[in-house]
Amino acid sequence: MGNITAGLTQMMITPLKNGAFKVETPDWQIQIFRQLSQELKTVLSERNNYLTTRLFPVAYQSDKAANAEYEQLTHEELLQSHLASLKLIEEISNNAEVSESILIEIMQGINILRLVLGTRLKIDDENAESLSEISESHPDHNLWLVFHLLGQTLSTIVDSINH
Amino acid sequence: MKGETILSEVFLVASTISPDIETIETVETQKPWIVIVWNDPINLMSYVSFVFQKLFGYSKEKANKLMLEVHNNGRAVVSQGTREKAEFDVSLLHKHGLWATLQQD
Repeated sequence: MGNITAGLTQMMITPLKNGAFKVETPDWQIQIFRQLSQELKTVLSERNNYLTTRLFPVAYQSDKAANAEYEQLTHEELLQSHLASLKLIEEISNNAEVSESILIEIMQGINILRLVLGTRLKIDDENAESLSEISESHPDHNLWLVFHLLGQTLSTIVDSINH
Repeated sequence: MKGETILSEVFLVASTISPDIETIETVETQKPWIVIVWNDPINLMSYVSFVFQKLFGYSKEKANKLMLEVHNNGRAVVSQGTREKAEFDVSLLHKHGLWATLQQD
C-alpha cells in the first residue's frame, strides 16, 4: 500500500519556550480533518449509530441497570466533550500557537475520528495487521489511507507533547 | 419447655453468627472498585500510554507497563478506589476514547 503522505508536507508541531506549541498544518490536511469532523458530527446526532459504539462504551459490563443509570448521568457530558474536540479540529489553521491543553483536546478529536473510521473499516484483533496490505482496488482503500493519516497525526501530537 | 429451648438456641445461633455477617457485609462494602482498560486494536499504543500518564500521573515506565498489559493480556487494572472515584476515572478514560469499565474487586 502506498504512503498517503509521500511527497506531502504534514502537520508539524514545535514546542515553544513558553510551554505552548506551534502547529503548522497544510491545507490538504485541514480539509480532510474538517470534512471528517463534519461527517462525524452528523453521525453523532443520530442516536445509536453503530459507528459511534467506541465513543460511548459501557461502564458496567455485567450490570445492565447500573450501566443504564451511569449512561443516563454521563452521556450528554461525554457527547459534549466529543463535540468540543471536533470543534477544535475544525478550527485548525495553517499556522497556530496553542496551549498544551488545547493540543491535548485536538489529540482527543483526532483519536475519536480514528476510532469511528476504524469501526467503519471493521478493524479488529484478527484483521488489524492484514488490513495494512489492502489493495488499491479495494473499495475502502481511500478510507484506509485516511485512517493511516490520522494515526500518523496522532503519533506526531503524542511525541510532541512527550518531548 | 421445648419451645423455649428451641428459641434460645435460635437466639444463641443468631448472636453467634451475627457478628460474622456484619463483618462480611462490612468487608463487602469496603472492597475497592477497580477500573479496567480493555484492549482495542484501533488505539495506538503510544496514545494509550500517554493517556495513563496524563490522567493518573503515572511515570512513563508504569504507563508503558500497563499499556503492554492491556495489549498482551487484553486488559489491565489501571486504578482503584471508591465507586465514585472509579466512575470518575472511567468517565475520563471514555472522554479519551479508551474502553474502560468498573467493577468491585
